[in-house]
Amino acid sequence: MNNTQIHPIYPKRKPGSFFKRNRQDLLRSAFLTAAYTCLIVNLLTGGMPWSLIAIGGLCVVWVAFVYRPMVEHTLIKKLSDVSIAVCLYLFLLDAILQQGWSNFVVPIVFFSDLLLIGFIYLVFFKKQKRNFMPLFELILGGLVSILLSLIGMYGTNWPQIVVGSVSLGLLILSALLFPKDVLRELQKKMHM
Amino acid sequence: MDVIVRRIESYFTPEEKVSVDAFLEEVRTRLSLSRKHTTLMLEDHVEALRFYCRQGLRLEEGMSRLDPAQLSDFYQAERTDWYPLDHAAKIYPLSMSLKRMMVFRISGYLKDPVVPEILQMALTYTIKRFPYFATTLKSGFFWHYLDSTMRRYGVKPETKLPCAVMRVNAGASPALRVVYYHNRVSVEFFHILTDGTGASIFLRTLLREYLRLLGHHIPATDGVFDAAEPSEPQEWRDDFTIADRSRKAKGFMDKRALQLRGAIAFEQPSRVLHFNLSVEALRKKAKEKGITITGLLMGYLMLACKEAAGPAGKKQKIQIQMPVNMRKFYPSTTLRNFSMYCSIRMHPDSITTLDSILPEICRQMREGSRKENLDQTMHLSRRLVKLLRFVPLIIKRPIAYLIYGSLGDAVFTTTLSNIGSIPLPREMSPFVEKFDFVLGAPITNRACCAACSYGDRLVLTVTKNTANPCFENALYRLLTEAELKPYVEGSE
Repeated sequence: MNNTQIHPIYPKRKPGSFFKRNRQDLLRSAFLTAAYTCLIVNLLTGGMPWSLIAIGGLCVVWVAFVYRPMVEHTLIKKLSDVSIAVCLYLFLLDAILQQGWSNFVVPIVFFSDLLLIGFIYLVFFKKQKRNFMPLFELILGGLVSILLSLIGMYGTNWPQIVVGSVSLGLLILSALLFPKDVLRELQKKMHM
Repeated sequence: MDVIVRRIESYFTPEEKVSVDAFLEEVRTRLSLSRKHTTLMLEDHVEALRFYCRQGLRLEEGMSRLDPAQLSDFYQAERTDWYPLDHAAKIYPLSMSLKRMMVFRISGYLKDPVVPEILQMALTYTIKRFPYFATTLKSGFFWHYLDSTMRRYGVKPETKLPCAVMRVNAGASPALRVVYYHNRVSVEFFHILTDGTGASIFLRTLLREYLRLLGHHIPATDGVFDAAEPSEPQEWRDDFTIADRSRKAKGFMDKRALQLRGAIAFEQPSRVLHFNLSVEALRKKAKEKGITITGLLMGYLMLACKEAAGPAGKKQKIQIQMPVNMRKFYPSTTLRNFSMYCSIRMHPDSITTLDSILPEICRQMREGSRKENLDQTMHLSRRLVKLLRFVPLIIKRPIAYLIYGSLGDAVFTTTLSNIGSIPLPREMSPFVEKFDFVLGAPITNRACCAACSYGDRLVLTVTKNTANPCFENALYRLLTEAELKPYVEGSE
């Protein structure tokens, strides 16, 4: 069968941009190359594990600017993902530099994010009510962290108390202001 | 809104403008969508009215065809319905990626070019009969689900090859796409929504509504729904749950199959080909051989696969997957996925001539599509879902993605999905030329095939995943030698 025997019934394919079509793959390759290069150079030169700081930074940049979830790519989800990535990166930095500030700084970053996401959720409730899950996960994270802190797993400080209070406050506020909607969302999200 | 005002002023006379304004005001009272979608919806009405006027229809007649009452409260009242994915659909969102998504398409070819303005209005009315399709994919803690969305569903001119990946990650992205090209109307579905049967009902209902808006009276019979009627709850039921319990549970795991030659193309699908065949000629041939039309097609595919396959190992076989519609075993009216599959396996050495392989194909098809065997696979899928239900999605997704990516369709050489004859009300047949059914590009397989028929035309579609033409060339030669005179259409 040659091409003359095939009668075209589809529009001609437009020559698409190579970069646009393979953006994700190309960026992934670039990030991986950079990460491996840092690791190898660090292993060869020795000294402080600075490559981990670089790799962690690359991960945060990836989450913030490249990564797009296949499902529910919403503002709340993006903010939640970035805040988790930043918090984990701060823990990593502190662990490597051994300066002991993460227990103070991370909760501040965390409750700032919680406040921002909570504000977006409550103020634009009609539009955002079906994007409750990432906020709910952050609230749970906040409540677990204050609980662990209270039972003495690690020291309590004011930022952690604020994290717990903001988490509890957001949960109560959502439940009081929009009980039906919140319950319905939880039913959907938790179905098995 | 300025756009609409400008359009009305340029399309209609000042006297007509008064009536159109009142008409649009009535439409507006039935919409509670975002500003963008409300504007688009009003534009749709204006464009459709303009089309009617250009066709010489009186404005009042045009407005009565687009009676705003037809919108009911679908675009007005907030819909809170949501649907867990059916058992078969659960794997699709877990295994999808930016370049890999289980999408399929069904197209209807009209005898006249499509009028986009009217097709748009037809979709606006049809989608409310299928509220389950007017949804968007969401992530839960344990499983994905479908959440209803308030939006306008638009038709678009076709610009890409069939079954391109859909973006389903925005707040209200639909999991279906309606496109048109010349005289063809195509509906593409992400497999999470439905299977071939549901898609065919949706397309036929859309075409009926389109023809109704063009002024043709067509009864809602032969599996075509009336878009004005409310939907029935059993249409959205997951009928995997009504299937008989089987003592055994088996079916998913299999050995890797022999694959066709050719490097996987960079862009997928690399080509789509339609082999147009006469149903009568096929039936005659099948009768001669004492087999069904599907069995006969399976025979030709098996021979073509042998010619196009790479070198075979001792154990690797050519395996062709064949979906089986479970609705023939159960009294199901669901529009959701309700199919299982069986596979026909043969070692390349045992594939010699058509006559020699047909008895074995016939036996395997009979055995594989027995209800008891399919029940076992269904039972296994139910058990898997039950077992995995407590595992959070965040853990399930990467595992499913890896397993599906590494094994996926590698256990098959190709697929043959035949949705059979598509019935239409007699009054609709003067307007419809044919239908075709296209499966999306597979992962490992170099080609997959789908078939459907209407009247005396059976369209066997091959979706290619490689530039190597050996498979379609072999198939063409076999069909030509059998005097089935294939007329081939496709992408360039």
